[in-house]
Amino acid sequence: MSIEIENVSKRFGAFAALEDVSLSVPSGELVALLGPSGSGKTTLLRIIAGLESVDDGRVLLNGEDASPHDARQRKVGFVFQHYALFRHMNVFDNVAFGLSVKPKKTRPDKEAIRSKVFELLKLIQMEHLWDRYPSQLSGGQRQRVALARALAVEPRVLLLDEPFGALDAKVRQELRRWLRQLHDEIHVTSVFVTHDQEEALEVADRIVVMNRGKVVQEGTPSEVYDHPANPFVFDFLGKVNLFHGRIDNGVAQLGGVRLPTSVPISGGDGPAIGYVRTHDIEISRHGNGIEDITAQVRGVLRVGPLVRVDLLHAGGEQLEVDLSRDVAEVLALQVGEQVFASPRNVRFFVNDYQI
Amino acid sequence: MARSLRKNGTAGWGTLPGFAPTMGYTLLCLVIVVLVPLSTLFFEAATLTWDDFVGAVAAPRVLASYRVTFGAALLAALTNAFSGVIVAWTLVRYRFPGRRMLDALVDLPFALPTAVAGITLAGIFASNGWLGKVLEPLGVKVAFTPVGIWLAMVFIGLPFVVRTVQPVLEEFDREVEEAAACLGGNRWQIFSRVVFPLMFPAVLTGFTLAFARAVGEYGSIVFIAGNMPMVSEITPLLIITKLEQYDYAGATAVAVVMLVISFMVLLALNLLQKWSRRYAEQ
Amino acid sequence: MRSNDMNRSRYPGAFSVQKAGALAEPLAVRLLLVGCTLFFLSLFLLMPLGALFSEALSKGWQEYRAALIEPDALSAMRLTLVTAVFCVPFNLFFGIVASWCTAKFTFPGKSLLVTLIDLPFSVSPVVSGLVYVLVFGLQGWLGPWLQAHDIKIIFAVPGIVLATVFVTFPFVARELIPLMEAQGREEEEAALTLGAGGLQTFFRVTLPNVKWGLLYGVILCNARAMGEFGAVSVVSGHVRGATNTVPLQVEILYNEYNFVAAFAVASLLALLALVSLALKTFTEWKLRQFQKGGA
Repeated sequence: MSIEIENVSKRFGAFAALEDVSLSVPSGELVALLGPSGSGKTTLLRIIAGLESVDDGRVLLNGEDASPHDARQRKVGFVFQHYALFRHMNVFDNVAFGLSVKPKKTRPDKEAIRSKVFELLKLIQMEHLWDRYPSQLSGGQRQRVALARALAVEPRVLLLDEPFGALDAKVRQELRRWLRQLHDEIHVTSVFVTHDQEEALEVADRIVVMNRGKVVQEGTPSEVYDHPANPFVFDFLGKVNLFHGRIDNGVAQLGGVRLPTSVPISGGDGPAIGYVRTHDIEISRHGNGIEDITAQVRGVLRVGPLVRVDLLHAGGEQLEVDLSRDVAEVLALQVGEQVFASPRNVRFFVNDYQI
Repeated sequence: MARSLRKNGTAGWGTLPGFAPTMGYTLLCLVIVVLVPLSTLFFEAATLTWDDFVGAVAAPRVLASYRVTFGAALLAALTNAFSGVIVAWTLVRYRFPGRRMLDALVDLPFALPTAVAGITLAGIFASNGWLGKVLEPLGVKVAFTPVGIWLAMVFIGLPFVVRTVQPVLEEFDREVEEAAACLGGNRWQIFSRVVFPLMFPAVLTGFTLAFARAVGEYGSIVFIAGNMPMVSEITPLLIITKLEQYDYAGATAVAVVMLVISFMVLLALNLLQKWSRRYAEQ
Repeated sequence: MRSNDMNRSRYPGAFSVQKAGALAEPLAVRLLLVGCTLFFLSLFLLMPLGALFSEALSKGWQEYRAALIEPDALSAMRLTLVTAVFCVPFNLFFGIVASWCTAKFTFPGKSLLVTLIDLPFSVSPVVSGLVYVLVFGLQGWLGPWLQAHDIKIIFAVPGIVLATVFVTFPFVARELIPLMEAQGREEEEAALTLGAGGLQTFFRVTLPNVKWGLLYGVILCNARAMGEFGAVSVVSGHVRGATNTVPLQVEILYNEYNFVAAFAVASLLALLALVSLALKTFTEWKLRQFQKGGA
């Protein structure tokens, strides 16, 4: 089932949580709402679920205006950040809750509820833990129970608020992959909120980047990562270096060095800011042309599979470069030595407008 | 210093100074103020023969006083449980003018000396009092009847359920209700199957506290009860009556029964507290 | 800021015509519940207060004033103050000491100790008075010895003070123990590693952290000490002008059908109760602010 958000605005007192947000989620997709805290992503999710009213605009579920329906009638599955499991019920009763509160006419009989619950427990690989209470479960297990509970009523839409936010790094990794696989199996339209760009890039079919109550970009993970629409998205998705340079005669310059750009430059001359990802800078001892910036090595730090090199370039700005370990070993950089940094794919923005 | 802290850091002993003297003083006060006086009750009762003891605690007038006291206390605590849930719910969940003032006033029965409460209630429900004037022509007699005892007990037990349930409702995770709503539960189902079970231990705790307080209460009841033997005489009053007649043995015997019941209520409360934490994080 | 605004949307105004749904009760139910609460609390809280003061002033200010400055009333007030002056500091000191050793250390039997400290709270006041009669009364354990040395405890001021100490014994401790437990030991340990002594640590780290809870306990302890009736009634002997506290004076006047004077003196205690409630609300608010700031 598809979700359409049309010109939705929401204020909490003086705080504008959402400003004129429009969005459409096609049926069967897994979409990430990505943004920093306070960007309005959770509010948007709660509005879709009917847990929050809108000040303006409307939400369409499957092409039908959802505003007359409250959370109970919308048939959306919602997985809360802290799971909101019923702690006085065991796993079985938690998952069965949605079925057992159905009106008598549509309520399945005891046996049908039982088989449905165990089918779901099997899906989340927790059949053997059916009689445990939430307090006896690990974080990852609670998360899976919360998901099974939401799925039990066969929701038309599945909404997840920071589904992995409260978990250990390792469990988070596993659950991410598991959620992706689960979605590939059951194909229910899903929206999840996250502030973790890696999570969004790895799990989602589409990413909606939000900032200050507005949608700033939406697209597939590679579109959003490779072609950020503005400096905010560039900065938010992945690590980035800034150059304060100039545009002269349509050419980007940094201290007399011409910089290569990923998008052809158009527009007027003047000061501009260049953005380049930390892995898009090459370091060499012998320059390879006019696009080199001289820099001094300030520090070399091994971070897991990567080696992070801190540089100070001739323009007086810090640069952070991520090298693969192989490359770093070949280079064997020493602190204090002079090197050449060659950035690739630099993007220039002037006053927040892309050139 | 840091090393010695680390060495002892995980143990309860020895990390902070002053355990031995403070513990000593605490135990000393406890023994002198509480334990020795209370134990005299048992020693005094032990000087009675079994038959004397039974004769004192199971005389018809005494049995009647238990019936009045425990019966009224039970009814009053039930009244408190019911009204306390409504009051706590209203104070936490709704906003209306006068809410803060009422919230602060809920503790009045704690703060108001019991004798003051007693004469005031008796005054209101006496035949020329504010409510007595209205109720008596209708045939409802409150003052100087067991109904008056119940009423006074409801008054002094009023804060207990409200104050035990209130924090539970205040800290109630609204998301749990939202989750139940998303799963299709209607308002009544959410209350009866999710909210109420989670606040029930607090209701029960408040109920028990109100019951215990009502059973032992004296000051606010004697003025309104009428104190007719066999009809509206409460057990604490009977103890005083026996004492005034220099029947120390009889007073002691009845007091032992009351004390044992207090202990049992206390035990029940402790078990209740454990039980109410059974779903908590481990 | 956001959480405040969220709160506003969390709790509907009782009368706001907000769409009822799975998250809010229908308007009729809300009105009914608020109505029940208002009725119940008016009946049990507001009406007694109103009746009390109107009864006290029913014969005008002159009578009211006369009832309060009557010598027996004044001596009752003096005795009540004396009782509180002995009782509150004793239980305050005990509460601080007891909460230090129970909240900052773990030892076997801890929950038993806390239960025992709480014990007077669940003993009927009449029984509390009785046990002191059994210890110090003429027929009591120490009775003959006390009489031989001409020391009067029962039916005298010391008995009243002792019974009141018993009744108010747990008040400060039961406020402080959970509070100090929640504070943990880290701050004290930090102070010690920085070279502070034990008492310095207590006065400069522990005490400021629990001051509002402490004040709260003191207010409750004082209110009860001044208002205690059952236990004091058993040990006092009701000697006018000598062993009558204010609550006992109220009883005597009432039983003499001197209602105006009884309610006038009672109104004094009611004012004390209202002041205590106001102070209590204030300290609670401070405590909450403090905890919020600390979190």
